[in-house]
Amino acid sequence: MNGATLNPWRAWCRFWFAPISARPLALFRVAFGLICLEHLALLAPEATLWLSDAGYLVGGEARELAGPFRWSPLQWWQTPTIVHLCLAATALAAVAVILGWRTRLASVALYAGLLAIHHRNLLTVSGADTLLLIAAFWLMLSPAGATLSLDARRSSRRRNLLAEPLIVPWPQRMLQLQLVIVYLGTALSKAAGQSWTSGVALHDVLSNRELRRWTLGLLDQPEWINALTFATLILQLALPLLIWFRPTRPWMIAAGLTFHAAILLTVNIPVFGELACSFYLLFLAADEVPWPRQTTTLEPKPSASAESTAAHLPPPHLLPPQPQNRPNRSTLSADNSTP
Amino acid sequence: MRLTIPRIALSILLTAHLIAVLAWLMPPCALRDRIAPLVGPYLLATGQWQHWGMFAPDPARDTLATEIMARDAWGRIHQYQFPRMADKPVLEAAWGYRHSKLTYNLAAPEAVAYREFLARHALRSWRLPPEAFPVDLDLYHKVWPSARLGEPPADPQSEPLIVMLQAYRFPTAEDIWP
Repeated sequence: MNGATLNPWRAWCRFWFAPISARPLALFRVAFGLICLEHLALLAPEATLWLSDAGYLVGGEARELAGPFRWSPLQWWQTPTIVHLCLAATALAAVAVILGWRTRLASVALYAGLLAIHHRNLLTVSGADTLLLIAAFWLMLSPAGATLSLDARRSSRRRNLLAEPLIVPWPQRMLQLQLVIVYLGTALSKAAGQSWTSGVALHDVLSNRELRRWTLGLLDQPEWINALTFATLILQLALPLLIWFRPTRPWMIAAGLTFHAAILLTVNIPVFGELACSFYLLFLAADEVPWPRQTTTLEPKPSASAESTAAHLPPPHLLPPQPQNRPNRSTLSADNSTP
Repeated sequence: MRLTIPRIALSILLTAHLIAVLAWLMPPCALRDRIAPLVGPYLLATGQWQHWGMFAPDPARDTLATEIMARDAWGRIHQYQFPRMADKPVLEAAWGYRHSKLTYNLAAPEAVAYREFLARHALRSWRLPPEAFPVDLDLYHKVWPSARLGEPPADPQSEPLIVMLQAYRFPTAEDIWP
């Protein structure tokens, strides 16, 4: 550890490339797939209105809004039938991602589907849409199906390998950093506003009948409004920093979950809160993952060769020093979050 | 950790991506003006463009609704109301949250094209014959101002203020199609 902190290149490599447990990323994959289904289910009833040429935008209008770089096939082929087929295909890809079936291919298809939908409907682009795409992009580049997946199960059975490998974490690190950018960007932007620094922003949000859900009686409680407004600001500044450290992580996650649950109850902005909470999984160390607790290993088949097991492991130079070249409980306790 | 070419290459790519994102998110300044055009195509094409300002710098306090009113060549008045979630039960509104987003997006100064396309959409939905043109059309927000903290709550039944977003004249029926 001391060597890592003294040598910037080594610290950099350890952060981006030192193998970590595949379980947090796999749990994120499952959560992300479910949230994509929620996103698509919310969009589906009005997909014709938002995405097809029987809706708000016809002909080249969607292309004109998107500009030259935000390309989508739905800007050209935009009949309601094609739009619904695209939604269905994206939902199927999300199911495959959840199950971890052909994970790489499924995650590429999910990213492509979300990109096509997102770039067709820039009229209502929101934080949830943006974060979904960002997550899909990095998930596509990650070994998200390395465990807790049908791919891992099939691979384990075929090659008689460990069911829970280590992974090289750079896409997961990008996802972690992206959450930091989201919270810090929002907090800094809020800090520039008058209503947040004067403690009344929450009242303004809850007064807006177009955006709110339930006010929970808070509009009549100025002290609570002040306290919760400042708490929001503090949380959005603190969480992206303190979630990296094991002692403060559970508190930050609990606070974040409470924060997003409160937003879910009070403001009509679905998907974003659920998605932000799912990112917390990426910060967990293997021993902090609540489920599944057991590391699954398979009994070696008589025909299994030592080479096939080694082929499943990361290259030796990527493995942390171990008495033997095989991940065990101590290997899997490698912290996913602390560089 | 050994120094390997793949790691160096990947490090360069990851750093470049992070710089691109941070430059994109930077407040307007000379540095952003220099970098954003370079990284824009990559971020836009891959869907990595982003802006994080939920309820920031200040949340929208007033309740808005978007409407269109038009007068055709015969002097007839036509009205188009975009769906409002303020009138709907909570669970029903959950499915229509994009309508609220659209309403608030339309107020942005840069949403010029959005407003024009929605005006055209309203005109198309009325299926006016060619003889009904030219049509003069107003796109506007109805605004119900909210009370400030400590003041008595505003009456939701009160008459809204009208804030004009854009006025258009469509000379012929062809003008409502792209």
